[in-house]
Amino acid sequence: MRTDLSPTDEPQVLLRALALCKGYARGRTFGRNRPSIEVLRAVDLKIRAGSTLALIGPSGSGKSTLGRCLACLERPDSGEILFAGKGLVSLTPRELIPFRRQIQLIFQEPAAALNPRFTAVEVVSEPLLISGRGTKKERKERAIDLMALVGLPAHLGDRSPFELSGGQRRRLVVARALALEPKLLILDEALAGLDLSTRAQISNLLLELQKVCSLTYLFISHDADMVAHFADEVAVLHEGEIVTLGPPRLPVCSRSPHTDQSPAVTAAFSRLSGLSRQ
Amino acid sequence: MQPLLQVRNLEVCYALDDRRQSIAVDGLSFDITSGEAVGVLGESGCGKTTLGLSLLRLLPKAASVLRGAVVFQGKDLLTLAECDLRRVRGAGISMVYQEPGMALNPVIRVGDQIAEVLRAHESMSWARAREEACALLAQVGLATVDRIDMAYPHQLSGGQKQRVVIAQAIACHPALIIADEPTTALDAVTQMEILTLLKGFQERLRLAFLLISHNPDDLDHFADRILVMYAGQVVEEGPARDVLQSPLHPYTRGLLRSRPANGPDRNRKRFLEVIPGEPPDLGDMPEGCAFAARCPDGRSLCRTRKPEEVWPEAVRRVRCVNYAH
Repeated sequence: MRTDLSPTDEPQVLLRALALCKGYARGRTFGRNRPSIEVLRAVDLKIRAGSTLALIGPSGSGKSTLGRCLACLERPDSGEILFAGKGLVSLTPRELIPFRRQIQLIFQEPAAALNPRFTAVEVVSEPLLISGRGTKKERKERAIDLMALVGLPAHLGDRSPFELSGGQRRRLVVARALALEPKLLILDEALAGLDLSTRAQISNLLLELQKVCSLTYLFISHDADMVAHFADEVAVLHEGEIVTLGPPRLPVCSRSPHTDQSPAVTAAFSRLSGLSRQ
Repeated sequence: MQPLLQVRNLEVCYALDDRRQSIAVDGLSFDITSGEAVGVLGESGCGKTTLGLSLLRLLPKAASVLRGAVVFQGKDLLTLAECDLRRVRGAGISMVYQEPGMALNPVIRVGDQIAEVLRAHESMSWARAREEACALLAQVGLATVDRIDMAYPHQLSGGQKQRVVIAQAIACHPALIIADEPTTALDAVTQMEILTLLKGFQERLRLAFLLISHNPDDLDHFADRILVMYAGQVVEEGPARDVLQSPLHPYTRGLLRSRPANGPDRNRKRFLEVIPGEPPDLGDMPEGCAFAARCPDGRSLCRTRKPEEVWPEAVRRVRCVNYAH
């Protein structure tokens, strides 16, 4: 792999993807392997420590697959992922463990990502249990601290996740993701499907946590307004390729036709999705 | 002119257990004239979906209409016999749901599902209905997709499925379409395409719309008039432009401010304004104004007195003590 990208050159880069490719096999038909679908084609990107990179693109463009590759949940077919200068792709599952702890993923649907048989405290302390940290009492205290950090009062600790409101559930998955003190959070549509006021509350929480815990975010979304609000840089993904990468000057794909838009990004997004905007 | 749909004092409740019930729709009244697009804005849990379902008596078993009237073209839908109501559903008023995947039968080809709607309301041969179904698919912008009428729902994308549901909804030329969050499950570009399509039908076919949404951006450019719902009540109503640009009720103001700013003065990476807290539990409503606990302009009076509806202008109403004189 390329070695000219050692951390000393760019100390501020936390995560770097180099020519990532990933395809999914489509199974076998009549005993023959069908050609796999290319989901990611030579994706290059870098995320500076403490910043937010937004990844946008139409459905099916490979956003979630890229997120899962970067979170080491999928192994790319080729290419390299450098986390703080260390290559992750060739590591064995055992060698990956310390890195997995530093990269946490938050999914779109918190209801599907939470075990209904756990209480809120158990949800948040499970990562600590798995990684063998602390005694039972210490884990519980830490879980309550984490819940306080995301704005969940301690008396909710004994409730099942399904007795919480949608906004509280989002806060709970954020608390769980923070349990192992990660450096990078991959937020896969973490603000989708929320009411406006709840979305604003969670967005404020994420911005505050970014400062307090010096977190780096990969913010996967198709909500152009939130992307423009939230991100330091925007990458537009289309059919598995990054087509634009740059600062979010203005709304990327705003609904209102009259706003002044960044022409390159808008053109990319609208051309690629086959939609002409008046 | 007689309105197309008149809703009067509609009250719907859900039974929580033997004793307790929660009022999901609390004394709602509004009109829709023919060809008009009315938007319903509010957060989840404020009774928007229950309102949409109760108009056609499609409520789940746990819910019941306590009182009120829904008069459509001179008939009260709440007292109409089931067989007469069936003629209204789909032909007079049709619905587009939030989850197109749930609204379609997974084991029937989509062309057949549209033909079924036509045959339920008009005497038509099966072959003729299938032809009509293909024509309808073309009308909703699926003409270019090869043999889409032969596809099963799982073979289609979310946007395509929603177009099929819209084809079903317009099949029998209804006068009113109730669209309950028709774009929520779709990505941003598809959302805009679907809203443009619906708006086109509204203008071309002179259809009236009740568009339910939690996102004011969906209603901007679409709705002529907006009802803002909170805790089962209409807290504000007025022409869309007025409500979105100079909202009266503190809830509407809070909702609009909690969006990231658009345009050159946007505050990137700054905190957004939020409405603190969450909507009240409908089974345990506060004594006074339902919004009092979250309201920035709340007074002590708000916690004890339920606000009456006031009409600051002829076309605008608001339910807040700050406007009562």
